[in-house]
Amino acid sequence: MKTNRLILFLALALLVVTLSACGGAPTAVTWPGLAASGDAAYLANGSVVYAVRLSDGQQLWTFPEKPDAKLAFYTNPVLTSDGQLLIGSSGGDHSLFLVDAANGQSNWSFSGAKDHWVASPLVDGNMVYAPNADGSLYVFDLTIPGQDKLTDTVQLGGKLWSQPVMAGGRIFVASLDHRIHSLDLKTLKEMNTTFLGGAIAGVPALGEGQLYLGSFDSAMVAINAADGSVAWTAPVKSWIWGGPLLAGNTLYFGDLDGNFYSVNAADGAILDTFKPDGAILATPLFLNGQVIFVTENGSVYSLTPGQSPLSLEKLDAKIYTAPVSAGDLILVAPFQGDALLVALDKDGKQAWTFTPQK
Amino acid sequence: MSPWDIFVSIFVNTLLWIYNIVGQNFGVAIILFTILIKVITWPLNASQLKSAKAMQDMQNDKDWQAIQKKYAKDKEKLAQEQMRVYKEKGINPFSSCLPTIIQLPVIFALYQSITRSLASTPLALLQLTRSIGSFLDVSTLIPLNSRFLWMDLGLPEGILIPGLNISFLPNGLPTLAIIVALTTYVQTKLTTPPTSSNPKDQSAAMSGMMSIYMPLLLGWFALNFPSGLAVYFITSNLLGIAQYAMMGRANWRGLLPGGNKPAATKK
Repeated sequence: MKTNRLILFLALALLVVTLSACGGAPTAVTWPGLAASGDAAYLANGSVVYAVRLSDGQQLWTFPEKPDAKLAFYTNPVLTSDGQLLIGSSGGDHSLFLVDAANGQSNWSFSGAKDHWVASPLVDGNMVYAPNADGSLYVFDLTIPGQDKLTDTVQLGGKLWSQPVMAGGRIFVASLDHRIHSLDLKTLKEMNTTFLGGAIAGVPALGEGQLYLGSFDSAMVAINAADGSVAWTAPVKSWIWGGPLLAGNTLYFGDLDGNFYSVNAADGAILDTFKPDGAILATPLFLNGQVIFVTENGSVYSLTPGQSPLSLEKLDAKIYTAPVSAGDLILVAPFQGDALLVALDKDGKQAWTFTPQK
Repeated sequence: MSPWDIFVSIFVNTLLWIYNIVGQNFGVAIILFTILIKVITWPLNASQLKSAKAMQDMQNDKDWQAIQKKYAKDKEKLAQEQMRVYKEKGINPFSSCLPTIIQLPVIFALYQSITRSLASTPLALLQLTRSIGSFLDVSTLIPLNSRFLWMDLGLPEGILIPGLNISFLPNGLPTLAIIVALTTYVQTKLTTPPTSSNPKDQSAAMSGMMSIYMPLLLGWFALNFPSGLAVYFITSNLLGIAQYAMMGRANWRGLLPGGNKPAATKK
């Protein structure tokens, strides 16, 4: 009888231990976040953020020093004017950290948000505007000494997954609940709200008095920054996940069906379309007169406006993270590949790859 | 897509279909989905109840007790005799545990379908959009409304009470976990037949232990997992209690201290 009790107890204990691995706030698994500045790239990938030297792809430091299962980083890190890195966690511990970009030491953290950090914060001088998946925009003043730097919390609703943008004394925050909120920068009062037909996950692009953004409603939309009215709508074939790139007077973006579009920013007319080898989720990059974009199937393309795109590289991985430029290098963060970071030169040749030190 | 992913996708699509027709209320969708699962598994549960009762009766049967005594030192012969008696009485020993075995993947799939539907990361959202059937307009459904009553169904539940700050309860008072533990206890007690008069009856001892462990285990799940799962547990427990009562097999005396007195021995 004692043996039976022991077996039953051990079986239940084993079940608890097994399931506890996916219990609590589930640890986030998604594609990495990437940023670059000066001589380093910063890769937010799972339980750590890596600093990688741009000259040779060597690891400089990690934050935290040892992986912490409660932390999960995948937002694009953002640099402050005084060389610090802002990065939010999406793990069980969903804190927002300020990390010294020189050595990876954390100087400050904020643990008051109720949900994950998916969007990158917007930095404006010493002010930080950080949207959280709990539907709030947290505002911090980095000049305030000590831990309590929070100056305002603006409840907007929905899940905020998109980095805010700023223009004309206003701050624009997009939400998965199909809305884009326009706030007065000084008072943080909501000036107007524009309702789109689908969720907005990408970062809007800013033009002359307008902002451009795509939604899960399969349309690119131009919104007048002054009053939130819709200037034009350009229907496309599928959902738009990432934000568009505005280069000159042309918008470049892709959709989930794998179509890449060039659209006239003045009136929303589609100028050109191209079908690469997979879905496009990431915002394209403009570098040396060329539009660089990546596909889910691991391809990196280069498009010279007015010409057909060229395939620069095909990685054996998925690419969802927006490519980043660092000098003449194109940095690409593959997902579920051998390397965590790949640096390409302008011709698409691999300059180096980064895999973490063990 | 693996068979498991297909199984979970069926759950996700059914959940979202219900969610859509009930006015985009995920809590109501989980409750209706649980009722649907209970209806589908009703025959299995009924068969489990009958088998459990028959096995309990057998433990109190004097002939079987005599056989146990006779072959106490010959386990192999006892096992053969047990199978013979099962056959004679039309008992299928596996039918009592089959519904439990079936429930486990359902619970795991439901947990995954809740977390997948609420998609807390970009990759999860991308996977969700690709697993939803064309009969649903995903662009209007996303993001799902995870609010239900006072809860966020994607997060562990708790009610913050001013002045009550317990370090191991960061979410506040876990009311749902308490209700889960209570309803599990009630269900287990109601379905535990009166204690056998046979002191060697191992199943009675196991039932006694389960009535302690199961409420603790499910209460722990409800404490740590998304509250949508706790809504499933509570609905499932209440429906289970209702089913036992409707079949006239609920042992209401079992709820009272010492209520599980030995049943009359069957001749």
